Amino acid sequence: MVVAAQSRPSLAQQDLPAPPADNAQAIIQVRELNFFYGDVQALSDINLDIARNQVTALIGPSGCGKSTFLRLLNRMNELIPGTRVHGQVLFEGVDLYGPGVDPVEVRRRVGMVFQKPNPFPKTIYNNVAYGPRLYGVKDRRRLDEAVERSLRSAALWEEVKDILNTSALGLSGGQQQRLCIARAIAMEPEVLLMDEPTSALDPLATSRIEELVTELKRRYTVVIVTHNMQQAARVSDVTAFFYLGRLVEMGPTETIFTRPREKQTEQYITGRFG
Amino acid sequence: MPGQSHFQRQMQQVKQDLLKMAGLVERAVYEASEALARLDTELAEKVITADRRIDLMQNEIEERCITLLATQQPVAVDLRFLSAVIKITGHVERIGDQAVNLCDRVKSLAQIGGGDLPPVLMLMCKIAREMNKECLDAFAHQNVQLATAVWRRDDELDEFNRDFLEEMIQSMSCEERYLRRGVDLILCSRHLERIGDECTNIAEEVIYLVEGRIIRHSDDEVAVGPL
Repeated sequence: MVVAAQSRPSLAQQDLPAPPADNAQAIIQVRELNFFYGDVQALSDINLDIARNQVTALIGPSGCGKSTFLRLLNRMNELIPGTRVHGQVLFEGVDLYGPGVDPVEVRRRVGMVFQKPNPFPKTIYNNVAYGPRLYGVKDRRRLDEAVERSLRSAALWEEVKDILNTSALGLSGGQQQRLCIARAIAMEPEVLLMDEPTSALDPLATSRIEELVTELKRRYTVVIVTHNMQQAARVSDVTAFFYLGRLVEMGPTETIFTRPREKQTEQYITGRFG
Repeated sequence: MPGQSHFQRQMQQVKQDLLKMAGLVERAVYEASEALARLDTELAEKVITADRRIDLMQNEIEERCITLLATQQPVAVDLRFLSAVIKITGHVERIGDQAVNLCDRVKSLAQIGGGDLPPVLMLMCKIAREMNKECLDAFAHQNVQLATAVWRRDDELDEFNRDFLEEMIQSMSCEERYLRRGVDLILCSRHLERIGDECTNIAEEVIYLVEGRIIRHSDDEVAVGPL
């Protein structure tokens, strides 16, 4: 289905829909989503709900479309030329691909953390303050508050509070990744997308990020792509298995990892293919 | 995620070892019931001695499973398999222990003397042996139907055990000189009934392994589904 051009509430910065009071409701609803890189269809007929304040893990073999799907949740794919989206991604009931929706505002409310830590070549403070400044926050006290709050939420504050004005590039890989999480949080998003956030980290740094993810879901909705089955099992509440551009199965993580419904899911998570 | 072929081979080896252990236990139950039928103390002694090997095999299999859990971190059917094997190994070992208990009673009964054994006890031996064989076959072939049949059969032994207990209490209160023999016979019945319980437990694990359904602690027919 091609995105219908009909009147919808806009995601323009001045006109934000209020989040519903019911936390159990899905924050994102994906309907009949199809995605193309030129002539190649990367995703077919995806229908799923992302539950509020839960961690949803996307798993599947390389090339199955999970990262493509993740990037569709904050309109990152449209930065790639020749791509097409059909269907709907409803965020708080508003179609992210509807007319008048500002992609920059979408990316503020649906933040992203990438595979490799990518701090800016700036100080730790300025990395975190970068987003709020872009959004016009100039007052030093408000910036200080945003930086401290974000670094605390990312479980990094205690480690960096005395070196805020040193280069972020001097931090360890794990610290840099938590800094990137802090940078995303500083924009006060509602959803955090994480694309294999620990694949470049050692086991200790990985475990800190995983702990952080389970903490973050109290305030944010997290969607995480991972190739690490155990990580998906450890950190997520819901797991979705993608294969060849289709959603094969989605359900409570506990069920997916003990008694999946679909044979393909079982074969993948037990390593019999992929 | 498991490193495939090697992991699968190791799982297969665990299964083979458990089946080997189960074979020893099947023989122990068979020989214990033969020893009981003939009050053959020599055979009873053989079963008691052989139990040591079964105990050691339990330790080896459990250790192997724990290593695989730690190193391969299996999920789904592989996780259910290893979890089921650990439990089934424990049940199989306890069936072996019940065979040893039966043999202890054989030695005591042989000393007391006092005529033929009650036919119902022999019938219970037969049922226990069949249940033992069938639950292990169900595991070997991951056959839920067979496991379900074993699960349903447990009531038979329970009922025989209850009736036999009543009967013995009656006869022991009439003839006090048979007290000692009566206690031994009651214990035999109890050991056989326990074998049935362990077989039922194994059947439950097989159903969990194959279908992921937990039917433990549920008595109703809904749990196992239609015949």
